[in-house]
Amino acid sequence: MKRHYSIEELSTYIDGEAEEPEQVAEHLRSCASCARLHEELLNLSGHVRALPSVEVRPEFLTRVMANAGAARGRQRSGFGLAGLRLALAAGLAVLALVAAVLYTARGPMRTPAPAESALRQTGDTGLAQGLAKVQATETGETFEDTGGQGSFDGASVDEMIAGLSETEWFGTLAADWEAEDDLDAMLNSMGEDEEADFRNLLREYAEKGRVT
Amino acid sequence: MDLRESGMSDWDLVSCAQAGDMDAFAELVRRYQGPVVQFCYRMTGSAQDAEEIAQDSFVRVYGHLRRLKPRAKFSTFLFGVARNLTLNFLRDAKRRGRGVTEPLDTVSYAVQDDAMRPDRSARRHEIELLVERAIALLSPEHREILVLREVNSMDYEAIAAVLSCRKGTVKSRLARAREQLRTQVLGLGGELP
Repeated sequence: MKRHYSIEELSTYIDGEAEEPEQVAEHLRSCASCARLHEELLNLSGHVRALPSVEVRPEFLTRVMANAGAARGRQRSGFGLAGLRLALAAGLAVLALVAAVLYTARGPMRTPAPAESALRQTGDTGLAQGLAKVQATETGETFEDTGGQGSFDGASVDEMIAGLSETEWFGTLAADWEAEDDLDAMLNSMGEDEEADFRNLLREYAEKGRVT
Repeated sequence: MDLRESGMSDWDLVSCAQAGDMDAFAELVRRYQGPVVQFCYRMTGSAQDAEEIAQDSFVRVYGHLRRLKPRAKFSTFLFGVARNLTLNFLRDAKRRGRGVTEPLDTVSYAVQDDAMRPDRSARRHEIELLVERAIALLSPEHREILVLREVNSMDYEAIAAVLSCRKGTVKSRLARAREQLRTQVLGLGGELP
């Protein structure tokens, strides 16, 4: 008989996302322990789904539409490329400085985030360390420094974007810009020209180490 | 033309709204106001805060309407904005020393709002209170994924898009969220089978 199924496997099964649902179903027919856990998870799911929903008041739509009209004016006087250029330069400088300072830092081990791992693979350990520090600060963790230089050298534009999107600094920039504090969402909201400009700014930094 | 019965896709409506058709944007709000408010409500535990965050989410989306491109589902973008605003709200609330939610107060608020629900048994009501309180005790990371799945009925792919993570991460994080919820419910004296 197969080993007992884990909560993750049963959770995936009840969501209809299991890779081999027939095997799970067959196992549940013969294993009381897994069947009990499965039933508990199903009940839990049912209870959450059955919770009463909050009513949306009729004035909700009116308020949104009124505020949307006001937002239209702000949209016309947005942050602008010049502001983005300045903020980007400042942000990248801060990140580079953080990375440089971290060159000598030491601390207990932590698990690298995906963007950090990607940057390490490109050889940009300085930026990876900068990100590690920023992320560790945000989560209250400590981190281990493995050395490196504070620059974007060797990182592609996409890798820099991946790295930047995880920093609190970018969230602040995006908030100031009245955009979402998620880089993917912000890129998605940019026009093609704006996105091209943004990528060019990053490329410029990657090549020259500064934004002019 | 009545947009509510037109069968227009979300991106058709976005396109009309981009051209200045406010009725098209209003229809988008009508389509998603319920799900977005529910998401914010289950995240914050407050109907009033949920409405404000949801309202702000739509206004922000409108502010960026001209630059929206149909790269993914419109709902993914909208929920991404609502999620970010909700997390910001929760962070600010934590900084101010206010609890993420006030489970018991919140629960009473919700129940009173529901016209006493005379047809519901006391047992059913008790379970609701318990589950609501257990959800409020989860971390925002676990709460959001659970709410997107169970309350907003999103599949793993849609959740991954909203959270900007991989499908495999959704799978494992959702399982951990359920495990935590189960622990909380049992810890609060609930029974699941």
